[in-house]
Amino acid sequence: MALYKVEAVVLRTREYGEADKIVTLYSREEGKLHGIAKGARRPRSRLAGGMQPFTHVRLMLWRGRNLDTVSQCEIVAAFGPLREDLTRLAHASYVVDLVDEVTRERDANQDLFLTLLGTLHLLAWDQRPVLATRMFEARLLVLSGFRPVLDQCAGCQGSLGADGRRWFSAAAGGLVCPNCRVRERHAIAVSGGTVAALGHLLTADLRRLGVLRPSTQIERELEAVLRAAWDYRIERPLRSLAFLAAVRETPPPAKVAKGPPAQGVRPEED
Amino acid sequence: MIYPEPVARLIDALTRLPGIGPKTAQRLAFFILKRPADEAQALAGAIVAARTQVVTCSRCHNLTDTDPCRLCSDESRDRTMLCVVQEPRDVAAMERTREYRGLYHVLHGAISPLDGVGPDDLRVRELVARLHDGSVSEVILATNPNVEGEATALYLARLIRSVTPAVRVTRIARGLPVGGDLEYADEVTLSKALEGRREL
Ligand SMILES: [Zn+2]
Ligand SMILES: [Zn+2]
Repeated sequence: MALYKVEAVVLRTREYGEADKIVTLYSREEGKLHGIAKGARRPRSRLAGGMQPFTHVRLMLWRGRNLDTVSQCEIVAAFGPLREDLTRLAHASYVVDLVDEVTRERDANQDLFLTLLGTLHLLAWDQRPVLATRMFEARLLVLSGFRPVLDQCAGCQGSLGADGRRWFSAAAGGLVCPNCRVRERHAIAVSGGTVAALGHLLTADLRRLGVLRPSTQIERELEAVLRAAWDYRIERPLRSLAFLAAVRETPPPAKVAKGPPAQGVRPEED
Repeated sequence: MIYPEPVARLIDALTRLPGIGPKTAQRLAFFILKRPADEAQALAGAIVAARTQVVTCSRCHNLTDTDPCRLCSDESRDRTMLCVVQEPRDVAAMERTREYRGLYHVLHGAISPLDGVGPDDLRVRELVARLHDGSVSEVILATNPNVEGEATALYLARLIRSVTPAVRVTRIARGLPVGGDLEYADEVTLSKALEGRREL
């Protein structure tokens, strides 16, 4: 058996046997792969901390016939805030779910790995996790070979016309001109500002997300366009989207003044 | 190797148990066959009795042979405290600490965004219903210290605050190592974690 080393993000884990976990990883070196982490559900296991979704780890694995076995795990970044805030957690779940859905086993893509890592950073610490998710959806389209066409008609390659209002068609793969729009029944109307924001999300440095200040209207349109683009590409609805919707429907209540905490009880800031 | 049909069926049934592979199943089957017949009878009887006599408590949803369960009908328990756990085995783990004197609520799982397990798949509505009569003043969220457990705790904290704002919501402290299952924690660790619970 051969021992090898990868740097990876844990996408998901599944309980296995008494105390083991089967983990799905997205690694820099080998792309998506599955491994078994023996004893990882026992609190005292040295693998317990690292073998959790969203964790950035360095691993040593034994190559096995079916499944590789995790032999050592070092945590590079735990992204703690993703486990302490419901909104961040829901968005991070959707991001790793999307990666798991669109990638194949052992198909390395270093840009995808780095984009995933950068996005988890933003989701954990940026003030706008929703926008970070939009950026990831846009970048993943590019990385999967589905870059939306924004500079000409995705249907006939003709001009989009002078009008500021545009139509986006997921089936055509981008904006469509007024003529093609007639045939694209599911095309979504978008403003010029949304097109500009989408262009920024597709190309800008991840660290430059902050310069984007979309209006609520543009945010809504970006969500609709990227949702349509991904719904067209993937066969089944992602499970994590249902949770994202449930979290949205249960907004945090307004802060209420609380009495002094009882002994031994620390009120949590959230 | 080909086994007589009843033996093959026994091995097949044992293989369905968690953590039991075909080899262990064979070993268990032949062990059972070698023992006196009344021992096998007793084992079979115990399985059938457990399966038919155990129900879930209509109040806390823990497994029980009486409804309401012994914990729910125990008058000496503190009815103002409600400890929310994922599984019946977690009630047993909490009881072993002998620290906690309140009541329980068993969710029968945890929210798992990636596996499509949402609040509607757990005993969440039943939990909210229990809070409406006003007798509970504190809910302790004792879900597992892993992503699913945290997601469940965060969601419940948000929900309880919005529907019954007067109820205090606390989370057991992270005295427990992260990533593990509650049931594997030793009594000392678990009672420390209970001591250091906090608002959520
Ligand atoms: Zn056209
Ligand atoms: Zn009960």
